[in-house]
Amino acid sequence: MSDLPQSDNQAMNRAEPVIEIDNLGVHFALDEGALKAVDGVSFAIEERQMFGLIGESGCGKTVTAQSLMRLVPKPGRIVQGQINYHREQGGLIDLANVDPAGAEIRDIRGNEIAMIFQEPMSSLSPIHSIGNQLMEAVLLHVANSKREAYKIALEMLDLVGIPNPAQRMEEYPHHFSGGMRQRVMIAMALSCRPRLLIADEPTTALDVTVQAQILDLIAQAQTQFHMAVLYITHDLGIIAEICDEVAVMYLGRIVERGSVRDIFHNPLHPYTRRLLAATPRIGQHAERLQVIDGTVPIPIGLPHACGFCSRCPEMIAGTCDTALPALVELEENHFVRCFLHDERKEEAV
Amino acid sequence: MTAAPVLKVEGLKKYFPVEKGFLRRVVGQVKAVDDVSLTIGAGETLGLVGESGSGKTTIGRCILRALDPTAGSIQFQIDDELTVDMASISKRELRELRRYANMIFQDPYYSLDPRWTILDIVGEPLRLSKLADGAELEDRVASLMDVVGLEAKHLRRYPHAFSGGQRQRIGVARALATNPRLIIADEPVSALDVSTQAQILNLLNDLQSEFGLSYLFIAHDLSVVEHISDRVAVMYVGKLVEVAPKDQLFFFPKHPYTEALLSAVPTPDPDVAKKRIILPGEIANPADPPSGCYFHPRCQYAQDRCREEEPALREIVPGQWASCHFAEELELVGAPQ
Ligand SMILES: Nc1ncnc2c1ncn2[C@@H]1O[C@H](COP(=O)(O)OP(=O)(O)OP(=O)(O)O)[C@@H](O)[C@H]1O
Ligand SMILES: Nc1ncnc2c1ncn2[C@@H]1O[C@H](COP(=O)(O)OP(=O)(O)OP(=O)(O)O)[C@@H](O)[C@H]1O
Ligand code: SF4
Ligand code: SF4
Ligand SMILES: [Mg+2]
Ligand SMILES: [Mg+2]
Repeated sequence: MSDLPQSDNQAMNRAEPVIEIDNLGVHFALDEGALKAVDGVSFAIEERQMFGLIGESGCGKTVTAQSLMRLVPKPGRIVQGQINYHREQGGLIDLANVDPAGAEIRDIRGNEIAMIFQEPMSSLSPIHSIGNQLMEAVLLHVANSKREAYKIALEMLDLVGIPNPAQRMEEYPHHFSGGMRQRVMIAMALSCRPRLLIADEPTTALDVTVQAQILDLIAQAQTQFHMAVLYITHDLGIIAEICDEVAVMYLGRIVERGSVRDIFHNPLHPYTRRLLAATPRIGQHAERLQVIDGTVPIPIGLPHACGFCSRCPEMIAGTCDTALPALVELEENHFVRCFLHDERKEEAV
Repeated sequence: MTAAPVLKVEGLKKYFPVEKGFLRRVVGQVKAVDDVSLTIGAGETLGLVGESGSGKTTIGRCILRALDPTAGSIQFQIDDELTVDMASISKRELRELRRYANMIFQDPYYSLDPRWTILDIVGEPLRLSKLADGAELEDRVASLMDVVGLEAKHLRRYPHAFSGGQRQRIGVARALATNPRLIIADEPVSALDVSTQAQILNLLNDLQSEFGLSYLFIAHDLSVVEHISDRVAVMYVGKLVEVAPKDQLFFFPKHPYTEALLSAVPTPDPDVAKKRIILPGEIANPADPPSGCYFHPRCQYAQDRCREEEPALREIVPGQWASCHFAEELELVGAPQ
């Protein structure tokens, strides 16, 4: 597997979008008020693109991903925006407006859009064999008979590099190491040849060497199946290595978006810059790391202002704390939401 | 860094029995730590890395005698006059000496008892070591809170009222309470965000300069280890395979496993082209390790000799030790500079 060509998305930047998210808002109705987990998020992912979503804990990455699958837990609700998904057979469907328990989304979920999560143990059932679980997923979406499902499941395990797949099919999740369980999850997600794979911190609990195996696997599958990937992590190193496009989230909003080179070599938003500066780098020899003072506020009842203003050293009093900067395209395909760069505001609705 | 080490571990072994069936018959042994020797100087940080299950936490727990070692000695310098062997002291002596070495744990969410106030949590080691109680204890805890950058007014609050980073600060305050010489930090920042991680790493750095602390810093994020350590030790299936000053280890590794680890670290720069070494197969089972060099089934440089003969940990260049038959000949690639 490891000598397949790496994906080269630079040559394919005329590709069609797979999914276009427009002004998405997701709120959790809590006793204290509406928690705005996602607050006006827009981005698009093209065919075969590796799109990275980064930001500190609690900034809304997972809830964004859950929205695309219509898996936002209660009391969360999509309150605004569109999720336009281009179907495999052609045609457009706004996933934000389908019944989250209906047939349409069930047909797409796990079939055209698949997801892998951070902790593979909690998503695999401990009482069923790996083979049964894989076959069940395959039967649900692609295979017509048990025989066919068995064959596909075997192929998938082999594809993700599990040795002795026939024997491994009989075993249970607790016989597998964390890395192998995560590979099974990927096998399951890939077994239906999805057009879009959502990977939410799939390697956070794993060793670096196992992480390298998993990243390699995702890159291979992407080239092989022409898949688009939404990759969520707070590890900037991973983003730099595998992504083409990156969006930086803070407090439910995208604050900067652009090509991976723009984000790493020409970051313009104060938050992006500080995230990069806080990341230790091998060979840097810094006595101290830069820190971002304060913590991420809870997005309940916050004023209509720049979300980063309570922690931003460059905050312009009277401007940043009284209005919300708009996400502006400063350079081609490089969007920034900050008054230092553009004075345009986003009106409250 | 002074000449006399604060900690000198020699030939440390910790074997766990493998039990089977209803009668819990012992059918084998997990050699979790197998003949490990290391030293840590005063004010020095030794980083300890290696795959999950390679024995890092077990080493830390043996040093603190939270586990009884199977063999080996653990010379711990209490002060200029007194050095003790933590491996052989009695339980009673241990109670008196426990205050000189402490541990910080990975998960700030689970390592603090939710029913205890911050005062109880940070004050407990002081009470156990009979160093302070009552108003004196409260004063001491308040000043510890100040040291780790938390407000003393939170003393009577419970852990759930604090963020992850704040909880880890509480863990640090607790570890500092008894004025230890040595702190074993077991994945102290793994559960934290980059920005919170930066705060805790800076705090550990400041405390080290201020109090001359020595750290054994266990982590799997190699960028973090490189940032904080003076020297780094790499473990594979219960054994140290390489120990060296950090720049040597990161830029001129002498063991193929170290090379593979370094190649797998993601670099936060999209223009650095790197070749990730994808290790085939899984980490070896410590209850049934391979013959010869434990790394041979996954090593791209393995030869016949590696299957038969176990390599010894040898000093390859001054200060840099590695256990590979071919450490001198191989031209291994380090981290991108
Ligand atoms: N089930 C829920 N009920 C209430 N609030 C929730 C729920 N799930 C998420 N939230 C809130 O929504 C916000 C966004 O959370 P989300 O899980 O998307 O963050 P994240 O960016 O994925 O963080 P992490 O890096 O920690 O995974 C947070 O403020 C979180 O507390
Ligand atoms: N109390 C115990 N009883 C039996 N086996 C144990 C015990 N504690 C640890 N082990 C085994 O010893 C080996 C080393 O475990 P240890 O926790 O020290 O690894 P580690 O390097 O800290 O791993 P991680 O990076 O996952 O924390 C593992 O195989 C583990 O299963
Ligand atoms: S808008 Fe103002 S507060 Fe917000 S990031 Fe820009 S400078 Fe900082
Ligand atoms: S001794 Fe042989 S198998 Fe072991 S690390 Fe060296 S070359 Fe590889
Ligand atoms: Mg998340
Ligand atoms: Mg451990």
